[in-house]
Amino acid sequence: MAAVDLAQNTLDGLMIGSSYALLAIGFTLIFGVMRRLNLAYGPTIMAGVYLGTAAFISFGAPSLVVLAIVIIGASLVGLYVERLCFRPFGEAARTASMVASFALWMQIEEAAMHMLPQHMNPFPPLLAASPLEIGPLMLRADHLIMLAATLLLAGAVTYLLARTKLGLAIRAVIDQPRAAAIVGIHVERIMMLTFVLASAIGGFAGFLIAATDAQVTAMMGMWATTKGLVAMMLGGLGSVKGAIAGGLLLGVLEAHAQWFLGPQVRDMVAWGLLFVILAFWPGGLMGAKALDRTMAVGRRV
Amino acid sequence: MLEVDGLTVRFDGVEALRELSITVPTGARVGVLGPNGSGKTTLFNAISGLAGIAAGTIRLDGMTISKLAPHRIAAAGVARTFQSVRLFQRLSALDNALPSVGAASSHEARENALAALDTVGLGERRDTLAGDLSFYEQRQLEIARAIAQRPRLLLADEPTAGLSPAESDHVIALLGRAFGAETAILLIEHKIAAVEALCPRALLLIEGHVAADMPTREMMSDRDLASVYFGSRLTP
Repeated sequence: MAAVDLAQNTLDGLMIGSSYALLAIGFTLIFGVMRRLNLAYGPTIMAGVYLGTAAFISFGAPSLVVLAIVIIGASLVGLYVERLCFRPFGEAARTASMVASFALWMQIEEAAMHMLPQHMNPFPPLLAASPLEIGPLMLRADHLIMLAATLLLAGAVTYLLARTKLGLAIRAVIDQPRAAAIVGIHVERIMMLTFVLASAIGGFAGFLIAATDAQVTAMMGMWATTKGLVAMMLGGLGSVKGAIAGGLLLGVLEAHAQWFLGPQVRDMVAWGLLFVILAFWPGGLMGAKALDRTMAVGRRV
Repeated sequence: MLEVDGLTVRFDGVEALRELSITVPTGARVGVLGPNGSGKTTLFNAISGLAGIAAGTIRLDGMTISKLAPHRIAAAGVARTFQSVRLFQRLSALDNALPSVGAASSHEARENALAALDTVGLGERRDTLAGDLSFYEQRQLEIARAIAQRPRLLLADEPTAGLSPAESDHVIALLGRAFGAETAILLIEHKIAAVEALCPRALLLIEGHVAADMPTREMMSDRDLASVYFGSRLTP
């Protein structure tokens, strides 16, 4: 029985964790090019989801239209955050950017609550199909879709970074922004595009998460920032593979914690784990080198 | 042709460059000498857009580049190597030479990058991460990156720093052979033999202005100038 529980929890965790992984990919892209933390990332996603929700409530927009609105909405809000919190400050003014992104978090949350004053809002569900049963294990169809979509998107992001001209420019800016400018890369433009890309990925993740819950509240912003941040830190700063691993790991650990220790302990385990990782592997499990480099660059600047 | 006119750069109230004017014809090779703190690297930073300019203009082939962003200056034809190598450490050697502005298409960029790697002798190391290359290879790769840009002006900031005498000779020979008559080279060097080997003409910068601009050989034989440069280390 315990083996079945373990397997079922692991499966559930992987599926939920896949959404954390998407959030962490977005976080890590922004952190990679900006070397600064964007606390408004979760609220950016929530704003996109809220715009989609408004269209669903007001016009009964079908899922695909809602998806498009969420992604475009999150991208535009992401652009707004970049303009206000990151573009005006240099890399050296990290604290200013982070504090400004906290201010925008509050602003976006307020705006969302004015747009849809109800605390809980309905969101079009992904699938109403009954769970699949494989032997003693149960799989939710929408969770399977979430996992598949995550893997596809992670593959697409990896391809974009590894094989395209934009990806090369992003990698060059992450690695060495000054040298990137010297070889003719428009660094600010690449930063902006990365920000929008990360926000679009976040919007996609936000859609999947809201659709599997079939409801959304303005708290989604804080939820997405914290989950994405913990998953990114677990996997390591500035690594897409690390972000995926960190997201999946966080999901699995939370699922086990919830099953064996109860829902109240679930979040405590995540925070406790983050504390242990930060204390002993401050670069994350896969990103120690990246952090060393970032810090070295910080000293040089 | 590079024309620098009345260039002044200030840091925290200190004038790093003071109304500096130089002209470098197309294809010329010019050494930039001077004691530490005389403004050599600041001059390179100002030309490549990395240092704010307080006064003066910089023109390349008649086009004013002094108000452009660094990536536009690169697109206008200025390439650069750094005293402390600035490669994309986590990118392959090939990827380091790829984002060059000298190419019209991705295909041409790849051809340029591969040819540049062959020129510096790193053709077979193209898939190695820059950070995994030896220091000498990293210096070569930085030059390959500049070659792939097909620049009108190369700013080489101590490209032999940290290299053995034999490696230094190779790098200087490489600079001489890899860039044709369409590319002017400004070379900052502390190794006098390197400057003499590549540059018929040399500038001596002192406290942010041009103290001498003459054939390298004459500068070397001028004991007063040499003493400024070498300070107390000069032996008669």
